[in-house]
Amino acid sequence: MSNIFDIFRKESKKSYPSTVSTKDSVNGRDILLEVRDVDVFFGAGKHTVKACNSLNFKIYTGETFGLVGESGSGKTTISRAILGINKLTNGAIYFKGEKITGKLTKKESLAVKSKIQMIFQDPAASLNERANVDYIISEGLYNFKMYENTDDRLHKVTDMLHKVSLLPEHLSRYPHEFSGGQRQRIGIARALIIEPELVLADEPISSLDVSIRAQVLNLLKKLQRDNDLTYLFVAHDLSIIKYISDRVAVMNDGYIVELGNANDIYSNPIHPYTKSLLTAIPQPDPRTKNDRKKLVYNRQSINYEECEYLEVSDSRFVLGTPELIKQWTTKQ
Amino acid sequence: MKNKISEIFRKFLNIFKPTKNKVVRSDDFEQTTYILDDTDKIQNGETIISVKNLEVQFRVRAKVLTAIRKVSVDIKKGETFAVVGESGSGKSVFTKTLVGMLEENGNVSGGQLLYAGVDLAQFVENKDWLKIRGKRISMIFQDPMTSLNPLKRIGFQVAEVIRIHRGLDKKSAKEEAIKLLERVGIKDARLRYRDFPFQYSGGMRQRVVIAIALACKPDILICDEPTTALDVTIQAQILELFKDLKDEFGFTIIFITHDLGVVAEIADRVAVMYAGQILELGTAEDIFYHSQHPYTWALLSSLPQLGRNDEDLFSIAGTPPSLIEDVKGDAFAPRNVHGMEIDYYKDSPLFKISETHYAKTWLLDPRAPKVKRPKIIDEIPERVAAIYTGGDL
Repeated sequence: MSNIFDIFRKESKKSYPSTVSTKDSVNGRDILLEVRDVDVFFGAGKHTVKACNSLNFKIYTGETFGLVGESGSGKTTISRAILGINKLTNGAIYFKGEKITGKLTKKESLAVKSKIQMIFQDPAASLNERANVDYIISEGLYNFKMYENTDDRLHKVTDMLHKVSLLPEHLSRYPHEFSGGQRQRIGIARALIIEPELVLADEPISSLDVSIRAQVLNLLKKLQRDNDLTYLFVAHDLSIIKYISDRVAVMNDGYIVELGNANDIYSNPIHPYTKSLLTAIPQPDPRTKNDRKKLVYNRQSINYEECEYLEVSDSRFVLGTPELIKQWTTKQ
Repeated sequence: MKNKISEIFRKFLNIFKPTKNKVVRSDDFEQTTYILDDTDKIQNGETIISVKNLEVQFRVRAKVLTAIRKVSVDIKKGETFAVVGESGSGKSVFTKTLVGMLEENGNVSGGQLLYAGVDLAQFVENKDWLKIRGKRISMIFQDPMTSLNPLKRIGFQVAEVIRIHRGLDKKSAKEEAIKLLERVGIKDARLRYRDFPFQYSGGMRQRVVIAIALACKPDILICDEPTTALDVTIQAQILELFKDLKDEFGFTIIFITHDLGVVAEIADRVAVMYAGQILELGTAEDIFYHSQHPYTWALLSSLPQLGRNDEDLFSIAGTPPSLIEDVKGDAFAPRNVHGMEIDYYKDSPLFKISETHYAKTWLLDPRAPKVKRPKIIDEIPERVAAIYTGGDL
């Protein structure tokens, strides 16, 4: 029955080529990951939850791309979709010009998985508590057979441990013997051991203690410099995103409402949601607390389905209609 | 005969009934006379809670862990007093002691806890605490989902407190509860009165918890990381709500958090805790602009919002000390960049810097070398302003 009604759908399903160019036609930068018109819906019929709606973004090689939004905005869903854990409803994702969604052979999907790795939010929950550090870190090597013999494997693992400032004697220990910051470093070592090109960091520091956050952020930055990594950094905290990201996408309710260079977004936020997020960050400056006006965002005032992505300035996109953007930019 | 058997049987069963957590009805409260009637007479700005040399110990596997090591502080009526520190610094234990909610293996092993002249540290029975807890001192916890009963309706949970503590009947308790829910910002409170906690969002649940805490018009509200589990925008709303309610209800807030941004937003006075001691105590201005303790410097300069893209963040090396053994000297010494020899064998006294500002570090001794505080702390206003005006200065 459903096939009959498919004819009446406004849009028929677009088809996506299996390969795309890896050079950005506008600025000539290398594209590592491209997300095209991605929808991720859960459930069916009346109870559909639209977690991601027509997402479009590109991640360039060597940059840190920040994804910010409140809980429930779909930021984790899209990062899971990139890994292939969540199935896409529409759209396609390209990694180095190759389509990595849809039907893939086992070989292809293995190849993709060895190049994209994830760092999880909660280091206590994401490590196998019955495995020792040696196994946890070398599991990727086992899976992809990336070592010649045991000596080679051990050499790689100790090298990685050194990079994340852990000691070789930690190898035989179990996750519960470590502190939160050390555990997160094990998680980072596990993700980086197979030399991925893209690392998805899903709120890697939000469950850590204040004094350790800086440590882990510094480590992530150092590893990026040394290994030419590309990060997709997911966080709900705009202040952290500002410190670590080159470009930022702000998500709300499954839509990217604003996308652009981190500095542009901070100096000149356009979408009211971005403004409300920015002004909501508590700042360590008690004298000015009364001068800072907190803007409250009214989600009902804008119908996202009627909006489209408009390029307001160079590679800066805002979700809205021309009238709305005019209204937002003149208000200040 | 049959009656007798059943009576014996019932008596027998009663032995197994837990007596400790007896349900307390409102009439139980009528019979007890309050020792604390004069708390209303305390004027704003006068001391409401005075903690003197408080020491709290836990028995852990035949060893003794000292979680609070000789803390002395006066909390004034009407102020917002923030306690900051990393996890394990004893900030939660400190506030749990104030309401007598320490775990079974913990006890106050020394010092005094004076609340309007009554030493709470002497309280042994739960019955004594019930006069204080909830009615005089209320508490709000981090995760609103775990502090609400998932099987009871929201309205019932709010009205229950009003019924038990204020002795109102069901109908007027309901009206009172609806008024309270509306006050803390729940729209259509009457319609949503019969909802269950899972039907509320995180921010709304926290509002309900606040309503419950305020139901008895407490003198002191203890907030243990109330916004940590919430989104930034919701966090801003809840902090705003605290400020409004404080003016209206006139209570004192003791606010525990690890987020220095939140502290700056809400606190009048701040205590920085580390390893069960207060290392620095002062007004918010003292702490953020004139801090003297290396630990406070470290906490402030490791804040990601103050970092710039091209520089590394400052990070504190090492881990907090184990409190199971006796800590010799200054507990922060091994992690202190400005550590001195004396730190390792003698604990520093609390030096007075100004009328409001105290710090516990040997650096303030006249014989100590002059150490300049990190540049980043003097730049806080500029760097915060830069967040709104864009990137690099």
